[in-house]
Amino acid sequence: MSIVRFTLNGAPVSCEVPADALLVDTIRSAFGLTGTKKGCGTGDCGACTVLIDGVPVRSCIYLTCMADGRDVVTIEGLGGPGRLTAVQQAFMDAGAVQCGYCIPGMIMVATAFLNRNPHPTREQARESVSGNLCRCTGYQKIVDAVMLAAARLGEEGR
Amino acid sequence: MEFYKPSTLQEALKLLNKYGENALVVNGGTDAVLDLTEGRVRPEAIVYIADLPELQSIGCEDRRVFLGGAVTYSRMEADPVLSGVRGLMECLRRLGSPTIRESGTAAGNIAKGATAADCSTMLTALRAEIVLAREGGQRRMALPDVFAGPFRTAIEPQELITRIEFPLPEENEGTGFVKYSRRRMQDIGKILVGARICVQGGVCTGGTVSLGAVNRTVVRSLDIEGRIAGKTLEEIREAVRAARPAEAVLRDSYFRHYKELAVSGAVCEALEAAWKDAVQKGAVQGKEAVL
Repeated sequence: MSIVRFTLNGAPVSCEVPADALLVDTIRSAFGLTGTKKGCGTGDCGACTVLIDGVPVRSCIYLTCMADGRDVVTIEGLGGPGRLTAVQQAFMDAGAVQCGYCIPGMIMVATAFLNRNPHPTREQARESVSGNLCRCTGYQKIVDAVMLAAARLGEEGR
Repeated sequence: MEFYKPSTLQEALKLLNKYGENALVVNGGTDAVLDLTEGRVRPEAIVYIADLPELQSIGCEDRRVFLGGAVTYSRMEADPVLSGVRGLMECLRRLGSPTIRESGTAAGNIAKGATAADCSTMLTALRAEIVLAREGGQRRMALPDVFAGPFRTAIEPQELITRIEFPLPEENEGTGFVKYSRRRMQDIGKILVGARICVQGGVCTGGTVSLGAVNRTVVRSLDIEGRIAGKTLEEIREAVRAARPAEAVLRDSYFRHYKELAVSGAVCEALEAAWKDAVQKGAVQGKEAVL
């Protein structure tokens, strides 16, 4: 067992886990943050994406021990009812959500993408979510949501 | 099972020396952690190397590109020197997904020894070498020689890839990469081709061609290299289409027939891309541009 200390959604946390514990399981079980979904468990679907030091990471192929000393942000760390981020609001307004299972991962990826690339082309927005699988919407409205968030963030910045 | 995060390369090598085959090196983790969760490996020690300061450098010295063992694909994509190596950029753009590229590393791709390894294929065409460190010494190895079989390499359990190097393509050299896969993004390549050719006076004076996913390992195609030397682009197209590369030794699988039909076309496309790159670079430099 190893003791791991990191920042989770802004608060310092610690936990004791086996060396092969996966971050997605730790986040969900030890910390009860079930917004992060475990889909494929093989790093393919992107539903488990969290931000580690600002970079999107698939928490199902990331050991909890690897997070020691780092800054981890889950979907719960972005915003909640009444204080949604522009990306979360845009996903709702664009109708990008059907069953919702992929959405936390989509929003984490889109958030990191727009932080780095605030004025994307539609093609770049498509590519940004290309590693996240959605079986409901056919992706168009998800890409619409990323573009809508970009436009709104651009207006805020002006 | 113990998790170790050594803070120096020396410390990491010491751990690998101690645990040998019972150590699992985790770099970006995109492959290694999956091996662990799927039970393909059961190590006594996990050695996490992604933050080792000795493995972070990326740059070019005396026209030789070097990449530290923990440099991620996304850092490679953002590097100004590498941005001129078109084939490598195309390879990175088609590799995994943006998120996978944030964690995955070229060194990890080599160490895994996969048959359909995108980056290893392109690096083979670029004539890359790796530097392998172990406690008390190091050695160099050229890329295709590293690959010993599907998911097998000549890297010893006590060794770590500290550096990848390749000669920066000259002004009259172009590079290209082609990946055939079912999805455009985030898919395993069914056919991979890397090419690095030198174009002078309207003919190809020589080059390196690599193939992935069509043999037991990533291979160099000496057959194709021999066929293209001294030829114009039109002659190259004809020579490549005449027969499959001798190194495309396809095992029996669902994809065999498709691969047999498509491999020469993929080689052709990679060579065309490399040719175009060489000619464009030559034109930018004010040299003769002959298509």
